Amino acid sequence: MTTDDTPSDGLPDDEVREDLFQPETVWEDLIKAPDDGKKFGWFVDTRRCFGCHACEVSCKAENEVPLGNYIRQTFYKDVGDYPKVARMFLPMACQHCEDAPCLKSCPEGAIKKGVGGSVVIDYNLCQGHATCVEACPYGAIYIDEDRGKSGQAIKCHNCYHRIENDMQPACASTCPSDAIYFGDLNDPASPVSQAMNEAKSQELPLVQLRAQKKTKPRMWFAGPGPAEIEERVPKEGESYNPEAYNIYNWKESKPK
Amino acid sequence: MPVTKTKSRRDFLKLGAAILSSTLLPGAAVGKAAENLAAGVLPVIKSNPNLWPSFEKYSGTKTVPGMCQLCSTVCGIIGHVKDGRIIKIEGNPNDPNSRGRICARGQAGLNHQYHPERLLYPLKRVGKRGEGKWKRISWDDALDEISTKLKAIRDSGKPEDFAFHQGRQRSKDALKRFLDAYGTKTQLSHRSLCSGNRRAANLTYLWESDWDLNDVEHSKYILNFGSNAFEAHQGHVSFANRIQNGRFKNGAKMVTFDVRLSNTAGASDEWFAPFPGTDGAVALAMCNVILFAGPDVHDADFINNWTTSSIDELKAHLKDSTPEWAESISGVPAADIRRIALEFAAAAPHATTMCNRGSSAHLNGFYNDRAIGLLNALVGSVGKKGGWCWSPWGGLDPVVKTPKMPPGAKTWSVLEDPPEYPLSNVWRRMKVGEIIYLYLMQGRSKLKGYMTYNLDSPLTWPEESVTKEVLCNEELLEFHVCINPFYNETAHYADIVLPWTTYMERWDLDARASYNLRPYVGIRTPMVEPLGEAKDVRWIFPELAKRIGGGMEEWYKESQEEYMEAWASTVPKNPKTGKAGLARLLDEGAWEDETREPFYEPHLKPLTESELEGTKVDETTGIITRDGNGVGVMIGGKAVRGFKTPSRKFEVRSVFISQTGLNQDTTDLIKRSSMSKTKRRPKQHEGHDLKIDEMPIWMQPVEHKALDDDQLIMTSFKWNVHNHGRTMNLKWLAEIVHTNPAWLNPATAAKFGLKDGDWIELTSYFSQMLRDVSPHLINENYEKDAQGRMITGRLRVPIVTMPGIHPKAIAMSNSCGHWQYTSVAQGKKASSAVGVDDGYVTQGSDAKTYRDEDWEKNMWWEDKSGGDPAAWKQNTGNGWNQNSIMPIAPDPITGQQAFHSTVVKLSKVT
Repeated sequence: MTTDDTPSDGLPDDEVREDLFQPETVWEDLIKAPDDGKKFGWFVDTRRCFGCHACEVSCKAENEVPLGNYIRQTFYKDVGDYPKVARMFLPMACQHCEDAPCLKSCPEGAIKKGVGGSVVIDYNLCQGHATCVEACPYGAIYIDEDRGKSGQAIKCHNCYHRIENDMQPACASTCPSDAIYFGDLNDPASPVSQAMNEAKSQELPLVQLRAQKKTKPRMWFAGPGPAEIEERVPKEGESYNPEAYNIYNWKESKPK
Repeated sequence: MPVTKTKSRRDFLKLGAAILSSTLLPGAAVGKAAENLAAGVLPVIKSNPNLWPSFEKYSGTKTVPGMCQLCSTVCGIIGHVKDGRIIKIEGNPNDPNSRGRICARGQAGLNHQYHPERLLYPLKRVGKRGEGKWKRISWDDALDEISTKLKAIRDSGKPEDFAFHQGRQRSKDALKRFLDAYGTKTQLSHRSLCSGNRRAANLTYLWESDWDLNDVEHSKYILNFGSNAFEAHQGHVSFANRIQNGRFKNGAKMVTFDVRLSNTAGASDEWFAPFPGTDGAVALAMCNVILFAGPDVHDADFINNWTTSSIDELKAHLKDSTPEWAESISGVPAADIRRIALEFAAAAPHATTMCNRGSSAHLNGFYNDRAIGLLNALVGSVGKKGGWCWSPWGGLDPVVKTPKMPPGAKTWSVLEDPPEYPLSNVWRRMKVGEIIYLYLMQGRSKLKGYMTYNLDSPLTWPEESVTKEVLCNEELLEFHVCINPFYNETAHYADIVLPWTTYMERWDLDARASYNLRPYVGIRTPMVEPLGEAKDVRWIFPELAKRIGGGMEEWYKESQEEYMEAWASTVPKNPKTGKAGLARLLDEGAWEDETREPFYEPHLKPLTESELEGTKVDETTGIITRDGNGVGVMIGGKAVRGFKTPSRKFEVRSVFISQTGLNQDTTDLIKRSSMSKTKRRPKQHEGHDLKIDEMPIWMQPVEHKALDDDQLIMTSFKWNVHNHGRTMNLKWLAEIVHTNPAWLNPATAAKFGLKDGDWIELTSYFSQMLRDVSPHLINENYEKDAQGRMITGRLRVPIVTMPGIHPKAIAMSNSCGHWQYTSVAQGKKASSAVGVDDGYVTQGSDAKTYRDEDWEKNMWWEDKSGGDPAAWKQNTGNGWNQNSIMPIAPDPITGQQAFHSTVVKLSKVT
């Protein structure tokens, strides 16, 4: 699932693949969110998540995702040594960065901001260069080789076809643990605003993943998941892949 | 435009009344559905690739209510139906129990519905039984042949020689109607493989309910013994969601005891791994702490006034059950036992235990669960808000009434009511499923007719070899009809296989015990017309009844529509829509009786004057009776309902269970309980006496007391994406979990010189405890080792070292190791519907219309090792069936299969 030239190992934690960025003229309009008054965002309460995979299967069903490819995945990690062991979970998908490296690096200008600032792909333009896969700090994009003339990029699109129909995204609407919340951050009555406010009132620290890259992701987390599992989330040049389901990978990595 | 955004319950979700009246007449629509499907690929309808996801996806869709049936939780679902095809499944927010959430299994329902290898046509065996050679036959031919056989059995005067054997079934009324009309009581189930001990322990305390509904949403302390509610559990999504609300909205703490770090254990606030089967010892030690800590800690009022024991008696009974004693047995530190007991008591009455197979699927499981239940009595959380609750209704009653049923069949069968298991059938029919094939093999019964339904016993029953041998034997099972939506391992041993509809193609009213502690009813509907020639039993049974005749047909006079209308007729009108009965259920999917208060503390309900009329009070016990029948009890000078037990109290000491064990006359006790369905053991049980302790005790199976260095205790478990024998054929679930290497603690692995991916051989033994207590189970074919131990089987598997497992335990999941049940379940890339050489199995499918190019192209976990352990790659293949080595092991008291007590010997494969 990894594309050919992947220098991500050498990328410092606080940097993005600026070397892949197109000239500003290519993306300066695309990166502007439509003036719709909405600010879509996500809140994931990893304290509540119990790793059930309902979000992933719902996403797969909703978006016709082929086997071996994933728009969304839940990562596991067993922390500690017997007899003190806990299992952590981290459901992940595109973070819909405000300053999205994928958008800036697309040579076709095929990635843009949609409703509420959603980072979306224009399939009239996408040619499957996979530069966005190289640039995404979260491994959240894959190339579907069967789409278009030479493959096309696939990622979470905030289920905009469902939102348009007054439905929640496929993952959030099914979550049995009530760990995933989506909605308009500008609307205090939206599910995401209410859940984040409740978390704040409980004085829970809200964190973002790889925030030091300064891409302004639109996903916030509560609970221990992000700090413990960040190391397992794919990086620049990678895509979600079946290794997340390999039980041999659940335990803590040996200290380096 | 569909409306599925979550709304409040009051502002209910109105679903499209999309059910065509023609679908009320199953059978009228054969073959039509296929025409609506784009030929070629399933399940994907490709939208315009330049507009993905398509804004049009949900335009022109109907939203149709239904209920999931991929596990027993039966969550309400909504099917989005477009052009006669379900394009997405969602949870139904109107369902009061699951409240709109569904799990990964429910989301994978599309794989179930549109599986390229679904069974669509009746099959008749043409080779030897078990050879897998079939020809397609018509429904008429199938029904004629089956009814001729069934009529002959019925006319012989021994209708009990026809057995119906269900796996998961949610059409209780239809099955009961058919079997009672036929006249056989030989209805076999899987309950003892599931929950017999937990139910019996609850029934001993309560009688009116076998199902504790822990009110976790309102709890402050949740003490979990071996339930994996975050992945499985009957009530999974409904329960798990409320647990998390209890913890993160109500501040509850959750502590889990489990030999293996399940997701539930791993996400708890604290996890402890007791030595397998010692949960009851830990619980009794906590009881000891709570009792001796004094009246500020325990609830003396409840113990002395509301139980059949007393503080003094319990102190004497539990004086030696100290935390230090429990530590010596379980390995759980005494200080932790003491601390957690006091925390639990401090949180009471907003404190509850919860448990399931982790504690109960043991040879001492009945006593484990009795001990766990006692904790709630000592802290007075029984029936309290936030405490340990229950409901007297298990499913639909009392909100709807089944249309008039035939009188109950009066036959008796050793298979349905084995005399060796005293508590299996006295309160309810819990039966003892795991002995069926063994008793047949022993010649204790023969079956002339055997109908299986949604069952995968070769995979899910212990001792796979016994199951296969008996299913193959045409003398022991003369005629086997299998009803299933897929060709599975059970179908493989049938004479006729009938294609069953999916849960999205048929009718039921259904519900399960609700965590709202009040009854509701949901509806399962044909969201789409059945594919191929699939039929439900609501069509099959009337057709058979008509052909068998002899009065059976009299019970099938209404049309399906009339039947559903009558069944749902008590659902009241919704003032907002003006709809009532079936129309309202089709509109909303579920109805909850919100006028009822949650079922808290029913024992405190004062008796009314009319209830007290003609009663008398026993001066010693305070029990109020009318003509010997229990009505209530005097407590503190007040006449109240009490518990529905013979003592009208919470039966910590149960005279009934000891008398039942000894086949004594319990008629008077039953009358005082007012539970008229409870029956004393029948005369066929005479001579099968068993001593059952009246008090909650703990004992250890003899084989667990001194394990050899190379012996471990095996445990099994369910994954969050699977449901035992019925989900590995669903590609989106199989992609996440398809294989099951054995879990070993790293220290144990090191001791055996093992590392990740190394292979081991496991040798399993028949229980030494049962050799003495239940010698009738001994299989003469057992091989014996040098020490004379009886070997059940051997299995070679790779290991995975996991920090979250007790060092003396080894864990293997179920659900894996299919050798039928579609190419998906077998982990084979080529579709068997297209590629299998024999061509026989595929007679029942339609490989031309149904294909899944995604499966054929993208399936990535095929095992390419060719059976060579050295070449096996992690995360590939379809795993191994643990039941190939699990011995038949019923708890002698209830018959619960002790899946987690199995002793195995481990050796490294070199």
